[in-house]
Amino acid sequence: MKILVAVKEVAALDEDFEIRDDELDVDEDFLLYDLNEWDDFSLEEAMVIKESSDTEVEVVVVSVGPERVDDILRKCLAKGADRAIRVWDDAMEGSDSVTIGRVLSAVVEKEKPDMVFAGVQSSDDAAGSTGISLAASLNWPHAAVVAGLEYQPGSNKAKITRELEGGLSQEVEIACPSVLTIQLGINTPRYASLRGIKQAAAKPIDEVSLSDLGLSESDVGGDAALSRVRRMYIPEKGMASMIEGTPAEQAAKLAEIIREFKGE
Amino acid sequence: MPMLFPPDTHLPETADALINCALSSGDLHSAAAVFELAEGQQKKQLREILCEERRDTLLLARWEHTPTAVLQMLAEIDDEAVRLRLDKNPASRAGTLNTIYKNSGHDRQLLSLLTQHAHSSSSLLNRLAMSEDDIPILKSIAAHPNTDAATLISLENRYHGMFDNELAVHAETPTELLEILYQRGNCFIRAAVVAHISCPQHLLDLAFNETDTTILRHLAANPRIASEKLTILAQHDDVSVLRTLAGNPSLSTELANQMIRNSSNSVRRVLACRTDLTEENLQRLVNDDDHWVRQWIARHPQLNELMFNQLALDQNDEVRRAVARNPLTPIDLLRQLSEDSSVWVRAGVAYQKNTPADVLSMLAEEDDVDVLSGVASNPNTPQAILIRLSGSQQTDIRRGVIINPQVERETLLPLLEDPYYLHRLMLISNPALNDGDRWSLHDDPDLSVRFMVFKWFAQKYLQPSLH
Repeated sequence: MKILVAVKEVAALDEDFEIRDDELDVDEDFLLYDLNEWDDFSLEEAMVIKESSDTEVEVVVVSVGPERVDDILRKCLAKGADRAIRVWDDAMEGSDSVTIGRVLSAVVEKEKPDMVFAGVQSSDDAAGSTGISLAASLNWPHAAVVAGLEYQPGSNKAKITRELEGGLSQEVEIACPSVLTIQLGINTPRYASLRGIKQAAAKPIDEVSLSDLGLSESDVGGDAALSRVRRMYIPEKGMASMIEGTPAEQAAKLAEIIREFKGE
Repeated sequence: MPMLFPPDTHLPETADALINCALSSGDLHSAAAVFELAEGQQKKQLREILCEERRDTLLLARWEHTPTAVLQMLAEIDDEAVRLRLDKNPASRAGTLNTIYKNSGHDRQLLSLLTQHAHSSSSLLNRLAMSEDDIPILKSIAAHPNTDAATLISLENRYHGMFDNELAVHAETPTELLEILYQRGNCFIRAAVVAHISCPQHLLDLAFNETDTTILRHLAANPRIASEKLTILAQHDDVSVLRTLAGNPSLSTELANQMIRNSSNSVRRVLACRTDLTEENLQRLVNDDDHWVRQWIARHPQLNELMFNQLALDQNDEVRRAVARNPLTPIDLLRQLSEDSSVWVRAGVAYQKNTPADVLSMLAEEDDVDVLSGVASNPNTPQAILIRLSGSQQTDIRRGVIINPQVERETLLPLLEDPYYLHRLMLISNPALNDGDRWSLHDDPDLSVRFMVFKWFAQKYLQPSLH
């Protein structure tokens, strides 16, 4: 039994940063890289299934990206994933989430997992579409924003709880194999043990090329993408109104604003 | 993480060996930690590690733990983004900020940040006040606690009345300027002047005749007000005036005890913190309808046994917990509260420094994380229980063991491999561990742990008397 977990290295920003000269992205010097938060929950969900199962469950993590992505894959290995796969070719630069979904579907066809997990969204692009694109490319059943999961390894169906707007939840039965996009809070992700980190440093990461997946350069990259970034910029901010005065005067004015807001 | 240090890296016995260890690793954070310790060629080599990649330089410039000497070195780099981050970094000291000013090229954002930085020196602020005419920048200078009296006077002379709000609350504002502010200010300015530590007595006398409650409230809080005037203020019908009066340390014992019957909960809550109440009035507050009053009184240092007993049976669990946390609560009562139906109260007993070992042993059998965290951090907890709790799955409980002042080295050793990086980081300065134990974390996968190990040893060589 095998669970494939799609993970992404995301870029975080500090409050001050610079946009690249081509105005298509942030200058890389200002970016800090880490494992996407949603993917940490996806991996934990797979690990919980693995550890509570009577049968052997293999957890495989896969990511699309250049060599530096190995850092987050090792983090996943340190937390208990059995294998890690990294897919990359320079021709993939500029790929959108639909293209990435197509690449991941080729990995799924090769690995033949029983379930695929992905995060609901990534914290940097926030498109929320990679997992669903992957399911569409595979023509598999899928469920998004999964906040609860009951699944026995080897079963042909799973019971999931989806988080909806307005505080609603929806229980759904889904046929397996399927693609689930996992929501934050479904579990409590673990910290990797020191031993796990040291062991992960020695584990190989399977580097996969386009040809290994039966894909060509024309299947990926900016030309194959269905969307592209035209410009990235910082919008003009509205001016906040500063409350002037001594602390007592500021407090009095603030109390007046609150009273006015409450309609008193 | 690639291996930074050879497996046979021994504990460095000298400062030179420590620096060489950081140099040979090429690790950014280890290099930053020992930078201050190094000189000559070693310092030059460390600088190369710290400045090799711009993204690393930017990272160090914004990191609040970056040592002062590294920040000072980074301030010399001609990079506007680095300067901006240093200007925002709360760890930047006066020297670094002076260098930023020198190289700022009158960049308005950098200058504005300098006037708001806690470590900007009075001489830098004075220089900025003399050379700038931007009102928001000057307003920040007038509000900065490091701005001296001469600069404040100069701002008032140049911009008459423009910065009254800032000057009225600034600790360095001289008496003569406070007098001017009181004469021309609105009620809020006058209230701030009345609360000022340098407010002259005759202004306090003048303020006594005011009718504005904001001014009277500030007056009622002032410990320099004469007793007879406080008595008159006690007749005021505004609750905010009475509340601040109740907290005035100069309020007579007699007046404080008279105010105990005030109908306002907020007034009685303040009174419950006073230590000059009669036994009769303490009992009155023990019986108070407001549970916040009873919570405050449950922490009081002058309760008698009957009062403790009554509060320990209070229907509100926050009140019973306050009894459990009171350092004067009798041991028998702590035993009774250790069996309280509320886990929040039992947790209070677990954190109480006077709780005996047998009670803690009983509480250690519970499974609530708050109770067990209290047991783990309590200095009276037997070592055998600490050993068991150090293996808990709950991070809060393991952290309790780490901060326990009586924890022994053998108990802590397994926690050097704690999965939570912050716990490993906390262990570096734990006095129960020896240098060899600390050094075992020098190749930790977490950068902040590695940094703290090297920093700890660097400080040891810089200030041997402290270690």
